[in-house]
Amino acid sequence: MTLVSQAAPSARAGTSPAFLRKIVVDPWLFGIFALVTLSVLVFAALPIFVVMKQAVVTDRGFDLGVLVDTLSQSFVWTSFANTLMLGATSAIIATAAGFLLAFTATRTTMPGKTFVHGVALLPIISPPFVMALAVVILFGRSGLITRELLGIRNANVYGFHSLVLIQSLAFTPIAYLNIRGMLQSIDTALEDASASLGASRWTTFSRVTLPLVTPAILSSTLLVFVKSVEDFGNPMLIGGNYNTLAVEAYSQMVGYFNLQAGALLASLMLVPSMTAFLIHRYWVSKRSYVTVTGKPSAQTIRISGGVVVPLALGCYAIVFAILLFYLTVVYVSFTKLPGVNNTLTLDHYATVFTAGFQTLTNSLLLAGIATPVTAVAGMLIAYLLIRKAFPGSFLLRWATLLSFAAPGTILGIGYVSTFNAAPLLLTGTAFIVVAAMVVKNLQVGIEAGSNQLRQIDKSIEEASTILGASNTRTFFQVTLPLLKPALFTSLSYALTRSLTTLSAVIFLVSANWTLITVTILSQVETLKLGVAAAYCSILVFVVLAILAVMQLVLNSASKR
Amino acid sequence: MKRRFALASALAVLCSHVFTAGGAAAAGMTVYCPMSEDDCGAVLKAFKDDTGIEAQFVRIGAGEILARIRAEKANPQAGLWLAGAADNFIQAASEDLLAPHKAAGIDKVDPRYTDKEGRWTPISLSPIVFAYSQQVLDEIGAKPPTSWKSFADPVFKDSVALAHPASSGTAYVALASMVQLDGEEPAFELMKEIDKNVVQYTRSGVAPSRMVANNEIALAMAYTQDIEAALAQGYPVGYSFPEEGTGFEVNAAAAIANAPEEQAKGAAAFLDWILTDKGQAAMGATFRGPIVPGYKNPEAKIDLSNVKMIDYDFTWAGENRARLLERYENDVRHKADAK
Repeated sequence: MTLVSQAAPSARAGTSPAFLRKIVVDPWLFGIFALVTLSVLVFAALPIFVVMKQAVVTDRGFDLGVLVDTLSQSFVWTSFANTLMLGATSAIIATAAGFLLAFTATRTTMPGKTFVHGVALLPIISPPFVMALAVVILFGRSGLITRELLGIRNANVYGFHSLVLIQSLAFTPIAYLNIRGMLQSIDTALEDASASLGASRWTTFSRVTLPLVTPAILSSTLLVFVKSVEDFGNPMLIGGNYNTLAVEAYSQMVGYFNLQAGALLASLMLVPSMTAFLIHRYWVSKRSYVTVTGKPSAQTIRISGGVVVPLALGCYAIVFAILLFYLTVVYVSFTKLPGVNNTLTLDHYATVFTAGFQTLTNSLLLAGIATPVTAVAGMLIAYLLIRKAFPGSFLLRWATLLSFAAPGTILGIGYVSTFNAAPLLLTGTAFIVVAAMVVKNLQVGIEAGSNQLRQIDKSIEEASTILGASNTRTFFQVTLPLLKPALFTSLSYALTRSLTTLSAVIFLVSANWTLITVTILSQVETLKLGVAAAYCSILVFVVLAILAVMQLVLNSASKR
Repeated sequence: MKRRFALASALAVLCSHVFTAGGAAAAGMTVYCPMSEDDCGAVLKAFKDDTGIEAQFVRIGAGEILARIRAEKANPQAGLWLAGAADNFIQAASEDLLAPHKAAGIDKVDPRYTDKEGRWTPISLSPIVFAYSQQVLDEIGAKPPTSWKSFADPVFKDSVALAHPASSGTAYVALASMVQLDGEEPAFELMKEIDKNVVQYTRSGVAPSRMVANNEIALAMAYTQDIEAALAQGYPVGYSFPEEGTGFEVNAAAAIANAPEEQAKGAAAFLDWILTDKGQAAMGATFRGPIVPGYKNPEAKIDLSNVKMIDYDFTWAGENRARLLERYENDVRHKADAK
C-alpha cells in the first residue's frame, strides 16, 4: 500500500484567464468567498496589524531604532527560547497522549470506551486558572499529595515542569478530537485488506493506519504548539521564573506602559507559529490521503487481546490524571478555606446562587451565537481553501492563521483600538465579544475541516455537479454531511473555548456584557478560591450537559 | 421549509438583541474599577443611595484599565476610573486621558496627596504591610519579618512571593519605599538578595497574600485592605510592619477625558461625593484608609495608630516609575534568569 502522489492541480499553474474562468463558473461561490475573505481581513487581520504597527511606528513616526533597541535586550531572547522549548515539549506530549486515546478508542476493544471518551474531552472545558490552581492545591507546599500524602515540606510547583504538565493535559483533547475524527472517517476497508492479506498488526498500523492519520497528527502538533505559545494564564500563574513571550508581551504593554516593546514581543510570538504552519503545510500538501471514495465499506475489525492491555492502561492513566484535577476543583468548591480549613460546606454555592447567574447566561448566549458561526465558517473556509483555489485565497489562509497565532491580549487591544469609531463602532456591544470568540477559534474548525476534506475523494463532489447540482448545493448537501465528524469537533471546541476564553475578551467586556470568566478571575484575585471553584464546577457541568445534547442531536440526525 | 424559516427568524431576533442591547441599556454611568467585585459594587451602591445616580462597573486590573482607555481614546466607553494607585493616574494624565475636575472637599485633603491640576482625585490611603504564614515559619524555623531586610534572609529561600512591580501597585510602592528609605543603590542590592528567595512573581498584587493565606509561602508584602479581607474570611494570616517605617499608596479616581456628557456629569458628581463623610465611609468599608482624616472602620483588625509611616513621596515615585522599573527589570529580574 503506497500513497499516490497527487498530480499538481492544473489550475495552479494558472494564467489569469484560468483564474477568471474559475470565477465565471462559480459566481455564487466566489461571492461567498469574497465576503468571507473580507470579513476575515477586517475582523482578524486588521486589529492585529493595528497593534503590530506600533512595534515600529512611534510618536516620532517610523522608527527602526526602537526595534533594534528592544531586540538587543537579552530577556527578549531568553523568553523566545523558553517559549519554543515549552511549545515543542507540550505539543509532542499532548499529541502522543491524544493519539494513544484516539487509537485505543476507535480501534481496540478497550473496556469503558464511552467513559474514557467523556473524560478525555474534559480538559477543553478548562475555565482559566482551574488547572493551575489544581496543581498548586495538589502539589504545592501545602499540597494534598505532596504534603498530606508524601510528607514533602518544601515542594516547589512553580516552573517549567508544572507548565508542561498543565499544558499537556489541557491541550490533549485538541489532539484527541482531531485524530479521532480522522481515524473514524478512514475507510477501514484498507486496514481490513492489509490484515486479510496477512500483514501483522504492527505492519498494518505502521504502514497503513499511521501514514493515513499523519495529517491529523501533524496538525494536532501544530495546533497544540500554537496554543502553548499563546498561552498566557498558566505561565503567569505558575511559571515561576520561566518567562514566556506571552507573559513578557503582557507586562510590557500593561505593566511598563510600553506599547512598542509589547507589540514587538507579540509579533515575535507569530514567528514560531507561522514557521510551524509553513512546515506542516509543505509536508501535508505534497501527499494524497484520499480514502473516502463513496464506495461501500466493510465493518471494522477491532484489535483485541494482549496488546490492548498496555494501550488501555495508558488511557486509564491519562483519564485518572484528568479526573484528579477536576475532582480537586469540585472538592475545593465544597471546602471552607481550601488548604487551611477543610471543613465541608455549601457556603460557596450559596454565594453563587445569591449572586445570580447573569454572567453565566451572558456567556452561554454569546458563546451560543459564536459556536455555529465558528463551526460553519470553519468548514466553509476549509472547503474554499482546499477545493476551490480562488485568486486571493492565500489572503484568507494567512489572515485566519494570524488570528489564531496572535495572543489574546493583542487581539483584545486590537479590537478596542480598531472598532471604537465609526464606521465600525462596536465597542460596548455584544457583537464585538462574539466576533472575538469566532476569530480566536476559527482555525481549529478550518484544520478539522481541511483534514477531513483531504480524505474525501473529489469524485463524490464531481458526481454531484455532473448530475446538475450547483457548487453551492454540492457543498451544503454533499460535502458538509461528509464533514460531520469534523463539524462536531469544531462545534464542541468552539463552544467550550468561547465559554472559557479570558485574555481576549477582558478588554471587550462591557458593564452589560460581563462574562463568567471575568467573574472567576475576580474571585481568584480576591482570595475567594472556594467561590471561584464553585463557579468553575457549575460551568464545567453546564458545558458537559450541552455537549451531551449536541452529541445526541448529531447522532440522531445521522441515523435519519 | 416553514420550520427553517421559523428558526431563521428566531436567530435574527436573537442577533438583533445582541447588537442593540449594549447601546440601549447603557443608561447611567459606566465605571472601570480594579477593586474586588464586592468592593466596586458596595461603593457604587452607596453612591447611588446617596445621590440617585446609577452606575454599572466593569472590573478589570488597573494596568488593563489604562490600556483600555488608551485604546478607547477616540470614543470613550466609560466615564469614571475608580480606584488604583496614583502612579497609573499620573501616567494616564500625562497622556491626556483624564478630564480635570476640582473635587469639592479637596481642601480637606493633605495637599501632598493631590494633583495640582485636579486631573485625578485622591480617595484613600493604603499602607504596605508584611503578611506571613505562621505554619510555614514554624516549619522552616523562622521569625516573623520585622524589617524590609528580613525578606532577604536565606532562611526564606523559595518561600517568598512578590508581585511584579510593573503590573502591581503594591509591589511598586514597596520598591519605591525601599529606594526612598535606603537610597537607590542599597535598595537595589537588597532587591537582588530578596530575588534569590522569590519563588514566583505574580501579576496581581493580591496573589502573594493569597499564597500566604494558603500556607504556600512564608512571606509576602500586601496592602492592609487585602490582609483585612483575608482575616475577615477567616484565613489565619499573620502581619507585621517594618521597623524602618512603611510606605503607602495613594488611591485615586478620575473622570475619563471626552466621555459622553451624561457620563462626565456622573463622574464629576462621584468625585465630589467620594470626599464627603458618606463617600469616605464607603471607601472605609472596603478597609482602605481614609484620605480625609477622621473616619475609622470599626471592623478593622489591623491597628495602624502605632505604625511608623515614611514620608513617602509618591509624586517622585510616579515620575521615576519607568526608570526604576527598567532598572529593576535589568538588574534584578534578568540577572536572576541568567543565574
